[in-house]
Amino acid sequence: MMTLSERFPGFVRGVSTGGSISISRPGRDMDAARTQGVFSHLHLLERGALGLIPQEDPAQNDRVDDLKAVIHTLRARRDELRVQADRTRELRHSIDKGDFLDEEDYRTGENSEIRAALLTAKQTELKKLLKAHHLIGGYDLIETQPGKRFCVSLHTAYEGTYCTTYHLELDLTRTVQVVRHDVPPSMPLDTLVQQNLQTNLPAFLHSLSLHLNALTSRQQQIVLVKDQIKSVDVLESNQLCSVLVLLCRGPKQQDPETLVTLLYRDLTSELPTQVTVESEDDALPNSPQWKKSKTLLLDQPVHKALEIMNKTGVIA
Amino acid sequence: MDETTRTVLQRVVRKVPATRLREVLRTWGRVPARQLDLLDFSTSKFVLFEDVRSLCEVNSNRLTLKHVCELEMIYFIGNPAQGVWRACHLTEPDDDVMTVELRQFKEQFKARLTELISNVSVKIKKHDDEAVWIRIAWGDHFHRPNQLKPTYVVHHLQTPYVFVYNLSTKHKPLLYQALVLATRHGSMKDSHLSGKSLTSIRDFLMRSYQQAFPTKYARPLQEKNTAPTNPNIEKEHAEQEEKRLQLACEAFGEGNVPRLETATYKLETRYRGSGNETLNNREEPFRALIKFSSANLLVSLNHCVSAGMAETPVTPLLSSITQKGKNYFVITDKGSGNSSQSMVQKK
Repeated sequence: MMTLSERFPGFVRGVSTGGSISISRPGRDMDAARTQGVFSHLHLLERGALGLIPQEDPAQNDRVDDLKAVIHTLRARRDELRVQADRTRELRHSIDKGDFLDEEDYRTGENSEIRAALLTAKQTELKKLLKAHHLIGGYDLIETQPGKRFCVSLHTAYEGTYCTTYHLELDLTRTVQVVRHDVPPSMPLDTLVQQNLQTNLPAFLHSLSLHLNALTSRQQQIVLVKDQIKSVDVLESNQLCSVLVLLCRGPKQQDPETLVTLLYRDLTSELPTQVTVESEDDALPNSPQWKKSKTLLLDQPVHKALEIMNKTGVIA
Repeated sequence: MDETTRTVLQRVVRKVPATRLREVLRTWGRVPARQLDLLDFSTSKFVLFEDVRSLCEVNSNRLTLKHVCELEMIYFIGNPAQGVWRACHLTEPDDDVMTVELRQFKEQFKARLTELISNVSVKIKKHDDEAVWIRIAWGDHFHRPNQLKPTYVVHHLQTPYVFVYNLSTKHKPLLYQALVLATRHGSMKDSHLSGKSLTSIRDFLMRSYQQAFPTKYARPLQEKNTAPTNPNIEKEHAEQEEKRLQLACEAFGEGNVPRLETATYKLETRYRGSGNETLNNREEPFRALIKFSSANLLVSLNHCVSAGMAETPVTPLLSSITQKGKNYFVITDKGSGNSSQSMVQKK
């Protein structure tokens, strides 16, 4: 008689070792055992243990094939992109160098798409730069008659607010000339024109812009003085705001009135170059607090200086 | 109150409209406001003058000519549009021109003028808008200053512009010299600009009006009450029209432009038309005076150009009104060659 282990080697091993596939998949094997009988199942297990049944799973195989195909296409795509990136780099390099208007390349249509995209990107970048340039107070140049005349706008600002915009129309036909402008007539435009216009346009515009911005600053300061410091009267000023005469009152009723004259000799600056203080009381201008105020007026915009003087009790 | 003071006061009371008189007298401040309120300003000017005179005599027993001149100045400063103002231009500025200051200017001007002419009365007043007003009554060696026909001068310190009202050619050199010395300039000349409104010619010369310049940014749309047009009708020339308007605005300003009444062109050119033999071959230049006049000349010219009645681009003859700040031109053959053309079209 055959031993059980001879008759059912797989079963015994399966039972004794307990590590085979059948154990790990009990549900399905049990179902098979139920429908086909125990022996046929044992037979199957035996064959399995002997390695007679091929172990391959057809579904898994398909998946591997799929993945291989994916790898293949991705590799192809990668190569394609690599080529494209190389080409783009090359084009960008040539555009940066400035010879992007290569007619022939255009006509052949080679790389035309990338070229167009790159150019658009470049254009947007330049536009943004230009906008930023305007925002920080650059000049606008517009050609009014091609090759002959152009118009420059100079923006002025004070403490972060845009104020007046001035314009100049320049003629380039023979020598550079100012055709018309709306710069205030008291501005020494002629002197600036003589200094720089023919030789150095950016320098001319820069110095004019300095003058105009300083003028705006002085104008705004006067507005602020009139607005904020009620005890001080602006007695005299002029179109260029190069002279400012202020009548200041002391904090007490019986204090003598003081006449403060600010002279702005440097027209490119918003600060005065000379401060004189006059009063009925001769000793007052030489008092230490007025001496301090004088230096304050020279160092600070006039409305700020007056505000400090107000707080420290020099003026009402 | 002496005779001259009386006459000047009478003139002022007569000249000032009854509706304005109360305000002018109040600004003057020689008569208390309570008494002014009691005055009847609807009576005849003769009665009114007597009332004002008696009030003045009661309140300030020593009312002098100076005070009455001040009254006249107050009225004149408030209403400068009473005659023709001429613009003058100070040239060749000294280095220290920017330091001229009101007090100094007053002293210098008075001193210089009295050096030049013995009998002259000068009154200087600073107006709010940074302008210095000078009233000059001229006399001569044998006559006292004529207070009834004063010359008015308006000058903005530290600018080269002077505006003169009622100045005779006899006194012109005197005034010019005094002004040149007091403002520290080398010389002074006529700007060839005149008009009835002081503020207009001042704004015009100082370019404090809105000038059009081309910009990158779209111009704000001007509101117009145009009738709704048929959507099927397309304007073929809309673009040209827009361009003409832009050119017109660039040449003559836009929005609220200063009011100029006239532009005069004195032609001393040869006649070049065809078909008129008598005019064509003359040795003498063909002399003509062309005068454009309008309630507001710049607006009229702007309209002419934008409506296509005058040619575009705007001829330099017309655009130099704004560019050079003049409204009187002498055109000779040498200067601007073919200038007599293109001026014919107008209204």
